[in-house]
Amino acid sequence: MTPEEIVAHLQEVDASFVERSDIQFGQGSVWIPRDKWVAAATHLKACGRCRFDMFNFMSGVDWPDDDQIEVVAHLYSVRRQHHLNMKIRVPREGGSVPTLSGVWRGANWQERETWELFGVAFEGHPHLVKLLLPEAFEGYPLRKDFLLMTREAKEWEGREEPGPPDSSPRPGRVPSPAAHAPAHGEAP
Amino acid sequence: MILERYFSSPWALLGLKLGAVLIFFLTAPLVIGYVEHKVLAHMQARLGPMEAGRFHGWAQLIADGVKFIQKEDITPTSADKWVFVLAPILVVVPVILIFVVIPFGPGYWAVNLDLGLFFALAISAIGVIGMLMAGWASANKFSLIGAIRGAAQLIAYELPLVLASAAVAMQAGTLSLVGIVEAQRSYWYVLPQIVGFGIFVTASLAELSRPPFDMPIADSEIIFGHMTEYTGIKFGLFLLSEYAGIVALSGLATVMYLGGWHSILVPGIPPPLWTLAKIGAISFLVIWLRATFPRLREDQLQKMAWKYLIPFALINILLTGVFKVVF
Amino acid sequence: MFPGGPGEGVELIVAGEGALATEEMVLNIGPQHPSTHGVLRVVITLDGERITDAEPVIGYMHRGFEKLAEARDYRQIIALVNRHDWLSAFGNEVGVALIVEKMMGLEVPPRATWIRMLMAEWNRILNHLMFLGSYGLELGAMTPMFYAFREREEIQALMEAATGGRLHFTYCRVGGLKDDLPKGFLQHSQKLVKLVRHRLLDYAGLLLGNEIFKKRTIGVGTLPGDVAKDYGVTGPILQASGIAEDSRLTEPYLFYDQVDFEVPTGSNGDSFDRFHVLYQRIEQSLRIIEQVHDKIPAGPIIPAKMPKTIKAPEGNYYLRTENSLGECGYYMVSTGDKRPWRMKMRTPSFSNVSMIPYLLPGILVPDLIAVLGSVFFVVGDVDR
Repeated sequence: MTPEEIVAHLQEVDASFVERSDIQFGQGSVWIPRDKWVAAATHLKACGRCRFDMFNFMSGVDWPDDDQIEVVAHLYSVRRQHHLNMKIRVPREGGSVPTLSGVWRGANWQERETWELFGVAFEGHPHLVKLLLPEAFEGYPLRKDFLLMTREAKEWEGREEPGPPDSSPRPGRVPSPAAHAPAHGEAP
Repeated sequence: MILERYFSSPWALLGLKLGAVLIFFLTAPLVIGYVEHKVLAHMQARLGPMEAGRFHGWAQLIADGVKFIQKEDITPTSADKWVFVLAPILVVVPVILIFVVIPFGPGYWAVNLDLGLFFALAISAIGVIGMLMAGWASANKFSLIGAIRGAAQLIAYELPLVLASAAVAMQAGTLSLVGIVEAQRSYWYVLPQIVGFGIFVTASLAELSRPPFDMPIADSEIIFGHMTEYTGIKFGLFLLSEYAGIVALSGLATVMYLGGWHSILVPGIPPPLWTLAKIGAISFLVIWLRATFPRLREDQLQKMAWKYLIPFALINILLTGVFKVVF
Repeated sequence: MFPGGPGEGVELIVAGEGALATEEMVLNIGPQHPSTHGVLRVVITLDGERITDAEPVIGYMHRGFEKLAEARDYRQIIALVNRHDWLSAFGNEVGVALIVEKMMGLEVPPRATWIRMLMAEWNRILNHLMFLGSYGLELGAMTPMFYAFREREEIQALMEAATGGRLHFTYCRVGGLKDDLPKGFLQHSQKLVKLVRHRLLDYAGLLLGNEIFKKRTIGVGTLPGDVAKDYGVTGPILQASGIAEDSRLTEPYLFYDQVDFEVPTGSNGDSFDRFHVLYQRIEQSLRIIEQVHDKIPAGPIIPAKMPKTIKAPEGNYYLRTENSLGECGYYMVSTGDKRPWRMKMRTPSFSNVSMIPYLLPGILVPDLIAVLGSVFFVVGDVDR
């Protein structure tokens, strides 16, 4: 099914499933309200037309200007070969999302990772402990207010645009391309 | 027999022969160990030792021996001290004793026991106790697991070893190793007893914990099995006993199946060299198997012994008995 | 493999009540291993010799790639992304380059695309050879490891001629490639295809046909197809469970729709099938490489009109490629800047390792090694 069809289908099944939807570069995203999160997921997995049997990944995107974190779950159907992004926006402080680990087993680790990196709690998760970070780690690293220490220590060199392509001198013993490679347009 | 002219005291003669056995025990494993390094290397598209001794690393194992001697001797604090120290000795001495009875040529043997074969098999079983002592005394739970697995394996494979040898003893009509070699004057016993030969070689591989039967020592969960906590010369003794065991059991296989010192095709070569060449051939086979096969799991190993090797060995004895009585 | 003496890392859990109380032992495998798995730690609970529970503990190699990616522009990210699945580094680069090009709407010259395909397939063979060798080593067969490394050296020499790197290539650029192929590269590559194909027969003889190998891997660690999909497992492991899901076929990227190849599948989903699928994938990759040789046109490797700065337009997109170990994808959220706002790396090994708690319970300890070795993963990929 095309992204438009998937969105239309979801709205048919239950109009409250889809808060809003978007299609970018040919890929569909649906924003699902919190109370319908698990129900919509269950439908997407079980329904014969959707058949989203593979839980691809889950992650978060931090939007500090809106004071929200957007949780994205990407689903894929091996049978029907279509993708869908399930999205939900939660407040940065104290936001929580019901767990999908009852629907897809793969959601278990993905949710743990999203929790520890963003601070979004997952209600009903069987084992919400740190996955990648050490036990003693404080803070939520992927949030925008968690600063990358190296960038504090040293300015990002890419801030200035580099000069024209041939101005930088070639290091020592590297021959110029013409010596060993065919010129552009020639087959080797 | 040659030396008896020069020595009036039988004890001095015996002492000399045992000295020769000891020297053989100390040098033959080094040769086999070096051959293993080189053979494995060339089978694996690499070179092997090249540095020690300049010419293709011939002195590699001698260098290893020196290394082991000068290493620190560590005994774990919670180890059972005397059992810990005695275990390597209990593994090494039986192998030396096997060399005492193996004949290398007409007159070239240390002791000609009438019960030679029986003695050799009985002595080789003592190594099991040494392994258990090492695993227990190490105060390491995983050494213990390795030792127990090893003990189970060695005990299970004693039976096929003994049964295959029994068939040979029946065919030769004697338990003396010299007698068995002399009985193979007309044809080597590998021909009528090909099944027994296969069983004997397989069982000896398992006795030595060599691949594909090396679960007790090379399992990724038990590091090095019962030898884990040993360092220095004690560890060196364990390794020496492994390679000496290869030579010893190859020696037994040569004597029982490959005609001992009897020559074939090429005349004029002294008999002891024939024996050594045959021992070398079987050792090469043992090394070749190491390069080729993955490990058998412990239960598959036991199944193989009890369900396949022992029944075939029994059938082998039956057929040998029938053959002896009828013909 | 296990830490030192008794008492360290070993706890006793008493399960059951009264007279029938059995003690379950909790053991630690890793993070230091005498095998090539890297720093993965699995905490297993044993009841005698049978595993009742297994919990992988990951994160020992977490380097914060996704955070670093937010502080780099798209050109720098290509060099960064080499390093999570280091055995198939080029595949990762291609993924990043493709997604940025897709979002920008850049047209990549066909020569660059064909060369990217060639390099990606050689990289896939490098990765698979590594696992072919190391799996044999875990079961006790020492020799295939050396043969695998011998082949890998030859292929790495080939790739070094074009890219300058043996492990981290940094050959892709947004829009095309860094440099054209050197003279004689395609002939060298053709000879190498014949050589690898010839030597691949050694592995079939040494491992696939070996009775002991088969006894230790057939029926061991079976993963049903729908459970695999549930966990998000992809790549050779999913294909061994019988599901022919391969991004190269279902959503062809680069020019995979113009070459002819098959996706091998297994029937049982056990360790032997996973290994066998890996072996067959090498053969298929060699087939693709031969076809690519004939199809590389002459032409530029970078579009004539490249924008001065590489900025992806606002939006988000997820693009997946079939990397050697499975589906490797990048979910890029961009706000129109030179740097991504958020780049999520969907790595195949993360999902592959997440199914270990399903796979291990019920298995005997001696089979543990055989099963763990057949779950192909790279730790950098798991932890990023």
